[in-house]
Amino acid sequence: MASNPDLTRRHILSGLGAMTAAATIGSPGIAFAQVSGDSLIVGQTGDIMSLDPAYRLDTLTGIVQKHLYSSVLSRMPDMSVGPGVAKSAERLSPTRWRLVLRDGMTFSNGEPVDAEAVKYTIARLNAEETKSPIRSFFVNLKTVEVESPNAVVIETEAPDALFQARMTNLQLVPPKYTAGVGLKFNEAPIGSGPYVLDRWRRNEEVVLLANPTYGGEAKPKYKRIVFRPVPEEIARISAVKTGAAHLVTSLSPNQAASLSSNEDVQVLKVESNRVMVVQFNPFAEPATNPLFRRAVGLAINRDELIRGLMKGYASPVKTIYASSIQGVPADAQGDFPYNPNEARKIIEDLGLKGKEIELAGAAGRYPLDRETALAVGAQLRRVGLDVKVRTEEYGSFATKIKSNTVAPIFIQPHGNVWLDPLPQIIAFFYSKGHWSGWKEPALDAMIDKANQADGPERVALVGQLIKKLRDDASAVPLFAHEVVYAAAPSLKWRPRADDLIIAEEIG
Amino acid sequence: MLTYLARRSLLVIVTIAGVMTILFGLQKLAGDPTIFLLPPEATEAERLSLLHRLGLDRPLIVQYLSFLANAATGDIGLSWKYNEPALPIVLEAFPATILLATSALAFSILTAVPLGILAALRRDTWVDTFASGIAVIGQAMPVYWSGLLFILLFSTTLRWLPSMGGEGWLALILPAVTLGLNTMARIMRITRSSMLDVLGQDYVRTVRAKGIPEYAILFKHGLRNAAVPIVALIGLQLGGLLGGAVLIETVFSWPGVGRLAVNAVYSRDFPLVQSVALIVTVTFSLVNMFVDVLCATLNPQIRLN
Repeated sequence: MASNPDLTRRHILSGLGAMTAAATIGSPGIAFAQVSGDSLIVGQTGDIMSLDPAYRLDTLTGIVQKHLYSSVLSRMPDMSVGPGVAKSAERLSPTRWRLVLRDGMTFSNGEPVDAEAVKYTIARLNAEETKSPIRSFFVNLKTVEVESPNAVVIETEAPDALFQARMTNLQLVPPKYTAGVGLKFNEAPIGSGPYVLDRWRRNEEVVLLANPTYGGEAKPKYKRIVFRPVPEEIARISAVKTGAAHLVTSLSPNQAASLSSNEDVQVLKVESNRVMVVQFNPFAEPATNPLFRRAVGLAINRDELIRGLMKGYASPVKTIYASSIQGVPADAQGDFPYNPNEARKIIEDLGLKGKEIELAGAAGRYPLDRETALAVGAQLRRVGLDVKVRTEEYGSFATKIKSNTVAPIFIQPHGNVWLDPLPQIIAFFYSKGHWSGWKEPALDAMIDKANQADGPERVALVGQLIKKLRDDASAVPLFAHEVVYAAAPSLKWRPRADDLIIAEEIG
Repeated sequence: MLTYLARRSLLVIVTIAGVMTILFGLQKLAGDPTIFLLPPEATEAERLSLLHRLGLDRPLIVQYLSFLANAATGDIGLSWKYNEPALPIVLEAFPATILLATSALAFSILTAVPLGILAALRRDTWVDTFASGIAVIGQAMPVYWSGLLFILLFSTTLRWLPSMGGEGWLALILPAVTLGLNTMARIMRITRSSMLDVLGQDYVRTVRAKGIPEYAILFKHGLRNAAVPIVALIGLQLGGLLGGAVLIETVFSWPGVGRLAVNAVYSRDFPLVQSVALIVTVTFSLVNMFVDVLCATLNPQIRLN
């Protein structure tokens, strides 16, 4: 076959040479936006999911979309709810809300930002064919009635204490344009935020330009914002030190500690809304015994974890909630004092001294999560338990939690996008919760009652829930993570507890 | 040769089917993808609805056959994370990986072959020792670690080169060199041993006795005959480079298929993982086939059939 006259060695070698030359000369150079004075360049740990606000599930995507779209209400820097497109939100009855919109705002294609846009956006998110992963955020909104171009009345299925928080997540899209492009909206998104899309090259960069038609209170601060995914921490730090980025996210406590005296970079931090919590599998012995669970709570030295392991880049908590969560009684106490002697006595009384017990945790998802599990395991060994620590990739770990096949003791990170106490309790302790293995009717009834309440009554019921969790020793709060950033020395910014980076807040 | 190519193409198809089957099995072991695709507040009803929408509530065999049938038509479906067709996403990222892998290979060949020849010509001298030292270092250092060291040295300290992808051709240097180090060491070693073997052959002594110039002996008679194992190794290394790109693309923020694959695995975006596997398997199989043809071309004594 090698003697085929149509395909000789000379032909092949010539072809090879030509291909090599073409590959070398013709390969496209990958050009990035350059740093300049009127630009803001942010290095994130990964790429965004989508430019369509119906497909926003993670913070990285949320940060970029926050600049492209206006939301009906806004989270202020102190995490209170403030005006957005709506200048006011009035509660007409337990289930009815009137939103009055600001005048004169338009989408970047000229369509008005009005009540019809609010109605259309909600309908789109709830439509089955949109397949929005955040449909659950808005499915409680039963009817949307346009009162006037600037006023809309929304009725909810049931009294909804989270209504205003939901509106901070409702990012508006232009009805005519969106209906025209359908699911291809992601390719050329149109919003009414302070910036418009210049380009998104997947896994390379998202470049936004100032929106010349922005109708918000202040003009965009930067001509251009660039978001670059930089997964490797050393590369992110290097980018700030060399001026390739102004701000990068997600430093580990070890790197943050080593950078604290470096003049080329400033370390910024804020307590996040994510709390690491020791939880128990209610189907696995001996975790079914509240006394054992209490002993675990008493055996954990949280100060040692915060100072030693986390190098101070974590905050103490009294409950399963970080300090940014609103609606938690100030005097609520859901934690356990460090009392190893009492813990040791309980373990001995229960006949568990020297008993082999597994402790599980995720590895590689949150700062020092694997090390946290190892450290807690070591502390439990000090009170007489023979703890075997097993850490694994988050997906496998999470699957075991959901199927109640996880170890008797495990470390669960508690996130809280609503900054409200109840969704967190529902997710982790309600019988129908996404992450819950608990099936306790009394606890369910308390959660249902609190979920129907409002105002001070709700706060009081949340206090009772926290007490119940502590009395049952269902959860042992460890600490709240601190989100750590590296920034150029000249950058002036106070990080937000919701992990968002908003260019207009950066000086 | 055409018969050979047809037979190898069939084998490529069988290989792809095998890889896809293994991948399907692995993804079933990887846990519930809805954990990553829904917010924590989502209800059980919403989780079941999503499973239905993704077709994951069907019997396993139906899922498998449907998956194979779709893969055969090139329709792997929508990426669960990006909600866009998965295959085009991978094809969009593929040129960047090819650019990185071919640059790494070019660096490896251009440094390793001359160094290997020199080491063979100056056997047991300091040149040989130096080349062996380079080979040991190149093979011993994990690419992830050497990548971080290069960032600290050349980007952070010396500020000669950018630490992350893009920024034109300059940004290609660090990832390509890092990725190519291990391959360079392997090629250098095989070039050295192959050249030593060939230069000791009788026909080389004969041409030398005929008064042929030394450069002609070296390149026309020596390197030409030593090239077959080198080319075969280079072909195999390209597969290794595609694998190594997974790490290097993460370290240097290079926007290629490797990083896409890592993210897809973490977020349980199975259609995207399948698309990456499909493209990489096809590429690796085609490169192997191409190398076989090239070896036969270089040395007609090798018969493809």
